[in-house]
Amino acid sequence: MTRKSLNVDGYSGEFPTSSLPGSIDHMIEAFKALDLYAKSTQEQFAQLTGQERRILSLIAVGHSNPDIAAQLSLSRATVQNHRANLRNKLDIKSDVDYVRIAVAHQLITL
Amino acid sequence: MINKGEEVHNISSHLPFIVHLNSPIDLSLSYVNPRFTSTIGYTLEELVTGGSEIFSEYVREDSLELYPTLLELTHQANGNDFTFLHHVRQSAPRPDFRPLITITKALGRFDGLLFCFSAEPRQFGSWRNRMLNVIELDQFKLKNYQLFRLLTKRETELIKALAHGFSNSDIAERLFISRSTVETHRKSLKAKLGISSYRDLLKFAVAFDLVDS
Repeated sequence: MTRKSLNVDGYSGEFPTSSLPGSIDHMIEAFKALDLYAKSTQEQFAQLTGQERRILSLIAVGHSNPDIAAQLSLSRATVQNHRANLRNKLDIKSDVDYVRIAVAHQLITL
Repeated sequence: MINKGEEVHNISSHLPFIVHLNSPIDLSLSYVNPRFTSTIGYTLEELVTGGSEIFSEYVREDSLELYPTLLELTHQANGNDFTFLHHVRQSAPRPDFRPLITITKALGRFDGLLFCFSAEPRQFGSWRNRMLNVIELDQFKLKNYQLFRLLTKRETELIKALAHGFSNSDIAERLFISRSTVETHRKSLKAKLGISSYRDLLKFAVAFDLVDS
């Protein structure tokens, strides 16, 4: 496998030709899959309140419950409640699902 | 009876995209539409005679390196279209490199000629933000490639499993290791990649093609 040496945007390093910057098909496929996921969760997502969406965004970006409580001037218990509601409404099975659904519905970028 | 060349030109002149046709054998340009010339600043004749010198003037270094692999990508695509990102300098009004997304398809009706349609992110309508995210991920990939290279096979398996939402016990089962080993691997992965959230992890997984769609 040939390797190319590049110096781009202040970054220099070596790349195998099979993995050069610019080949983006796999990323597009991933986002297409997220679009489908957005469609299939459209109804549940539409039922979220504004506050729930805000909290979902903050969870998805990686903020802890205490952080979220501070940012939105809520108690930790309230945030925990909202989080539980989100889990139920959106059928969330693991922590990465918060990110997946937030990206799918374009609340945050990856 | 319109000949094929005229047909291409008639259609391509009206599309709000940069259009060019390339040989499926050596990628040499055989046609560029007027928008190509007004955006990039060169005519077909200038490009054909000027050769690689002109390309290195208006194409960013990493994108230049990508072009030779496009022939391989064409064959892999096997008649389907594929999309790539490159950074080109537009003649006016700004001289800096701008991202261009090019969709390429070999057309049997035109002897396998590669039809290439290029658009800027803003031309993708409701997918504009997705495209900007893709461009960002491509940059991210560039910056983190050296890190990615240093990952062990185990570690990439772990990233995949985490990106799919498997719990530590699930992962332990799948990889035939103990839960505490999973936790140790996770800690070291976190440190190696500087990852501090699931979003970082998913970003990494998507950029480096570690998620099954």
